[in-house]
Amino acid sequence: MKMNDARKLEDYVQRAVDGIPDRRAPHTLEARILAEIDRRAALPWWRQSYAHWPMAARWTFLAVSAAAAAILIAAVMTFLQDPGTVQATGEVARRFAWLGVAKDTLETLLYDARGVLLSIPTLWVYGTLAVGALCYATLIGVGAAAYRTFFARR
Amino acid sequence: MNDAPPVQSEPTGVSPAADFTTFMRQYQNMVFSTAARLVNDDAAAEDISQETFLKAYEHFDMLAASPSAGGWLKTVATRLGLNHLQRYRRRWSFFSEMGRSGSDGETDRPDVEFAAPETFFEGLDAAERGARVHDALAKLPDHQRVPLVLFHFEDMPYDEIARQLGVSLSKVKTDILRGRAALAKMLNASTPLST
Repeated sequence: MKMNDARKLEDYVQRAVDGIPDRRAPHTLEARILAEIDRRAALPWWRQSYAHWPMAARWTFLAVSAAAAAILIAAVMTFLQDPGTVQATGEVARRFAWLGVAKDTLETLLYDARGVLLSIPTLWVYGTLAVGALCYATLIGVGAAAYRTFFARR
Repeated sequence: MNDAPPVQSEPTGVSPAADFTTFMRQYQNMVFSTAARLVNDDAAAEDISQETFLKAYEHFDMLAASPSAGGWLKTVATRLGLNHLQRYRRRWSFFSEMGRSGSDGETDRPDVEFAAPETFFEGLDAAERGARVHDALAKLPDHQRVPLVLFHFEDMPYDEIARQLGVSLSKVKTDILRGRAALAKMLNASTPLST
């Protein structure tokens, strides 16, 4: 029979796969599953997922979380309104004054680097970008060829 | 896809029920086969089977007496198998599918011509035919085997396969057609053993 017709090919394959028996599962599968069920069952409720927690524990957890959030917000508000906070902030700023020096140094370096970059001829910039793109494309091509040669099943 | 009801069982502190073991023995070959055909890796298929039965254990109250338990298991195993493939595919799809023929926009009906002898079906019992089909499937590339398995073994329509795999309908049809041709050719080549 010449099968140049897609429908016949489909029927042929369907006929080939119809009614074939399942493969036998590995002998280890059943023991693995039972062991995992036992392991999970042995975990205390608080180490299981939230959906498995007792209802009382779930509500308690929600209530405690809400209370903790409320206390945290109240504490932050109190702290920000306290007169001593301003003084403490000044003290912290003095301790980290060196950060300002570092910022000034970085700005100077960036300014100088910008000047150097702007002095480079445009042709050199485009040339460098083109070489970089070429290297990247070559890397992708070599990677694809290596994958197809050594890993991909064709 | 998984529209099962929420967890109701409380397995803590009890051993797996004997009827779950019976349930597992009844379906484990089917679940393992479903996963193995999809992922083409026995170790991964065993992991997927384990995950499937662990989910089944959580819903065992509902599944124990359900006539559609087999379908539920098959659906979950298929979904987990596809998830496994998607995870793998994300890492390699760029290299594996770059410039591959049969991608979007190509013809829906590539020219397939193959002489299929009826002798493949002669003198072969179902087990032997199954072994040959399995061997041939294992040799197909993922992008042909997966949609082919979903269509012919899981009875999934083309558009659903395209949706599940996140590819176009035309690519699914082309890949399945080419997969069928390759599979038929391999089955044909394996025929001389009989009669």
